[in-house]
Amino acid sequence: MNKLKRTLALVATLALATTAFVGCGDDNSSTTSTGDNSSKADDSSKADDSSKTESEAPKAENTVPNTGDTLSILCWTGDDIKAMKECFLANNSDCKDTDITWVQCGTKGGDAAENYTQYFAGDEDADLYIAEADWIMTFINDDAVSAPLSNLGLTDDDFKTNYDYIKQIGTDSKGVLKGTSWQSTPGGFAYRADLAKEYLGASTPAEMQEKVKDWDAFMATAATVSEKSGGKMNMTATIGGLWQVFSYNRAQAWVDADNKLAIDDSCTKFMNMVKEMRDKNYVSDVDQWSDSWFALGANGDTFGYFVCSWCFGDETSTFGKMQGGKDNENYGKWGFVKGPQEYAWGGSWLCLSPKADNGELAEKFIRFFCSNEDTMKTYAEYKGEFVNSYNVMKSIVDSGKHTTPLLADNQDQFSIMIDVAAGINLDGKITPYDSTIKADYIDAVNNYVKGNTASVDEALNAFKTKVASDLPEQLTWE
Amino acid sequence: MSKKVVYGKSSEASYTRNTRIKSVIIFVVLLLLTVICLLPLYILIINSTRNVTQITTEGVSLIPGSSLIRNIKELMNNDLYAMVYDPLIGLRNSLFIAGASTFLIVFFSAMTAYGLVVYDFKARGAAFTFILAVMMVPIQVTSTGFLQFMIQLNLADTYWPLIIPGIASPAIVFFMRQSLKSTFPLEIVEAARIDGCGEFKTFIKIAIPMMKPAIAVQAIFAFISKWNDYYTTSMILISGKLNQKTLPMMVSAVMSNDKTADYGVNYTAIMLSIIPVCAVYLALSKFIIAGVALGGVKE
Amino acid sequence: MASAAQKSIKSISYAKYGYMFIAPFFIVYCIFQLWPLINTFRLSFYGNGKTLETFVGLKNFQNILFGSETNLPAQALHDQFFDYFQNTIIIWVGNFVPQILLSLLLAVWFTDAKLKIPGKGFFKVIMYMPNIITAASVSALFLVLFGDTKYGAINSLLLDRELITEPIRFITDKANSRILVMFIQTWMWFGNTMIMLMSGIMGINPSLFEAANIDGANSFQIFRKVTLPLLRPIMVYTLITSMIGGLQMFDIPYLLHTGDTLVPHIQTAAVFVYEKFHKTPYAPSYGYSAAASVILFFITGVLGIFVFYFNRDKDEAERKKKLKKLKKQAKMRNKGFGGLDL
Repeated sequence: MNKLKRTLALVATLALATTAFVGCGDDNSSTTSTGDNSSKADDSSKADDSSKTESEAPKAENTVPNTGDTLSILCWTGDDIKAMKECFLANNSDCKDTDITWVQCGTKGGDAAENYTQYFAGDEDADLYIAEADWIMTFINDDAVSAPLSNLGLTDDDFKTNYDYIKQIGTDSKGVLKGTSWQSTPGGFAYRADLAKEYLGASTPAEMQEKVKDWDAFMATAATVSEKSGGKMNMTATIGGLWQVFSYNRAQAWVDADNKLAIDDSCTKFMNMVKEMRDKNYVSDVDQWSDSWFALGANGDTFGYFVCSWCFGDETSTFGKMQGGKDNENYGKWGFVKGPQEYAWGGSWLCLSPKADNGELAEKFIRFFCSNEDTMKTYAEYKGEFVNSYNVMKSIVDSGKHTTPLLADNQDQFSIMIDVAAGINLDGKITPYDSTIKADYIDAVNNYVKGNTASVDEALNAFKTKVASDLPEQLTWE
Repeated sequence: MSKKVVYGKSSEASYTRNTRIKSVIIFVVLLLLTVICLLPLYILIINSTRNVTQITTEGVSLIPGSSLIRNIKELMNNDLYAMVYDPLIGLRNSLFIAGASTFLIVFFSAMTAYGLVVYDFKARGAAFTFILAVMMVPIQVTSTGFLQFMIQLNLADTYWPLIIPGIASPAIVFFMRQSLKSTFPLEIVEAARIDGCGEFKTFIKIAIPMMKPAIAVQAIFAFISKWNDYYTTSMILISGKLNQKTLPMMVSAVMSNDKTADYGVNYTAIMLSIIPVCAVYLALSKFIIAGVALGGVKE
Repeated sequence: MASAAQKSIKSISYAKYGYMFIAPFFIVYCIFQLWPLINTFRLSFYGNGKTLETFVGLKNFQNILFGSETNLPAQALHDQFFDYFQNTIIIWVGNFVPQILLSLLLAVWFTDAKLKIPGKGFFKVIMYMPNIITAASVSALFLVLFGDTKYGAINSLLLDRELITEPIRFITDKANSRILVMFIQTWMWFGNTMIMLMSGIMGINPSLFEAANIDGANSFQIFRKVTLPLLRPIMVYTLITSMIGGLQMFDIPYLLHTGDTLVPHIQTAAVFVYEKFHKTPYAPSYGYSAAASVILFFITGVLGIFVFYFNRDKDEAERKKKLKKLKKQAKMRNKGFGGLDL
């Protein structure tokens, strides 16, 4: 009964709010039921309700208390937060060095997720925390460990400059925005530009994109590359890279409305395609993040890699290592195109802890990095980061000032990435179980490709069995 | 008589020859084993002297490169590393935890074993069986309950849960009890009592020195196992604050971080964390061998 | 010969010291280990994922031990647990047998006074070195050497010399990966076992060896008839600790892989426990993890009892029995005479 009342109230306020928006932009008539939304003592369902009310109104209130002395950010990407802190301090003279601190919880996303759970169980200071796309849902769907961003007085309007898919990932299953990001991590296909000219007659990225504009074209080009290189060269380096692209382009989520495991057609297509590619040596058998992964590009054994925004940097960056360092004969001879489908890889989302006690500073921090286009541009230029705003990145691309030693002919990878990020759609396709299910699926694919399972059906059965043993009671099985 | 002498002599000569051949064969086998033991370590040291492109493009080599200094500098100065790796701090923490644990472990294990062997009390059999049963419990069984309990007691993120539980080390008690049973003469306790020595004093002044070899051996094993313990330590030290981390945690952080995939530096990090242990081990190895030998001569 | 009454007075007055001496162990144990252990037992009777708080009785055990025709997850868990357990046994036996043989051989060689082996001390020190290195570093090192692809050290060496045409799959092949793990475990632990055995051999009275020598026994006979029997307590200790360690083997199987996929053929029962606990932190399968731990515990216990029974000192048991009988008789006599010894 309570639920019904709540939904009705929601619908009613939504209706009201849309009319408010239709009016002039800067509506100062501050809002409605924030009176009772004062403290965390309220039961979360009530807070959810009134904050949803808030978030639709143009000017919302920051209700997070300010009793703490430092803004603590839990993360595993300490270097990112360090850079952000420096940039923030440089541009906010009223903030001191001791006002912001971060806590390094492990070095891998997965470890961090576990550490956070322990952290929340204790009572150490935690205001904001970073989450990864693969497991953010498990936190944001749990009101005990995540609070709506509207508690900081941030509305949807504040995030209008962000890419859609970032917002989709940060929205919980009830539609409440709980996570946002300062960065976007779109990916594309990096390839040997010199060999593209030689083997394929493609002398510009645009021409190359034609050759890999969809998977059929990609396979055809792979055949050409393989033939012209005497069977030595892979078209792309790893199965893992291909999987990253496919996993962002599924038509449905891994778990359907009945809480059962669902296998999208694109995933089955992936399995067949990868088997063919492996048999014909269009893709290697190397794993990502191993020594050999970098060796493939450095030694000229692969024609291309699927890379994303954070792979770029100097010669010690991921992409730099793939090129073999600046003394390698093929350094700087690579190009970058969108590839067959848009996708992203990784990324970090900022979430709010319900125990946060630095409301003002948290709001400022998030506005600086995720909402305000001017400050986001400052940060983009400060770190060379691909930030979460089409407008900002477009202006950087248009200024022509961004270059990288890793790409040939002064190509700016951002010029490709701005459209890739805009083309990603993940609405309703994220589940809390994604990281486990995706890992099990790629296991099944690897086994099939290696010949350990005889047919696709057998491989899919093995996949279902593995997921059943990992999530025996979390999903519904018949 | 002379026949015997002749017989003895010739068999003695062939006996010596056989022993010599045997020694040579054994020596060769030992050399082979040495190579097998040291090869991975050697490769580690070599890799830490090369830079990342050499490692990825040239595979493995047996010849050192020239990037050691650069790797060390990178390790110290690069932010990415400095945030998770500081060898001096790690060393200090590891030493403290391993040292304190080892002391508690060997002392209390010896004490418990002494109690079980020297005194005859009703619950003795049951206590020993209990200790045996306890030994069978896999670590994973208790670890999470242990962590949650520590969180409740507000002891998580401190060193106490890493050091205190060492007092109850069933396997070591078992070993010391076996050793005591076979080498410790109970009459000494009687004699000490007659001389008016208190029980505890007897333990400290008489039993412990006699148990030196067993204690030495177990101390080394305990120290090394505590030093290398990654699982429990990383579970308890939740917050991951740098100045609390132990060396294995730092090494693991460096190895598993995707961003710090500068392999030359990674291997240097591992090497720097192994060197102190190896150095201490090599320095004390004489004592280990001597200690093991000391326990040999029996009444 | 102290009278029965005097004897009983003595043992009573010192018995309490026995309790005092073992007290710290038990206190610390109860706090830090017993309670978590009880908690784990408790958890094994509760649910997983979304049903963490529901009491499910023996269902977790039933699912793991017997599987189910109709229930896919139960069958999957059952298969997985038994696969992993089989791996554990195979790897343990394949590691223990070579290890004990090698360590015994080395221990005997090193303690044999007649053999003049140059640099004995050096060798002893080297043999123990592998035990010092952390499992994480060890797996990293072996991955470098035995990498699966053509970039692995051994593979690239063999490929260059054209001794093989395709890289050998050390890490992912079923047999190869198991042999590799067995080798790594032996490599890591043989020095440790060797030192233990050496300390055991050195505990044997050298006059026994001399006597045997004088009697004309050769090395092998000495070994079989003198060394081995007297080494029994230490051997039992080694067998027990190795068995426990083997059943709990976790580090190397869990760490020896490239990419994110574990190698299925070397995963052990301990990995099963760990995975059910950690793999899905948002909805952990505590019930199954705990149930598997309990099953492991019982298996270890049964095996342990078996080993002990087999190796019990039969003479000692006889003596104990006799002593018990005597004590009983003494008690009865005392009772009969009202506590006075006449």
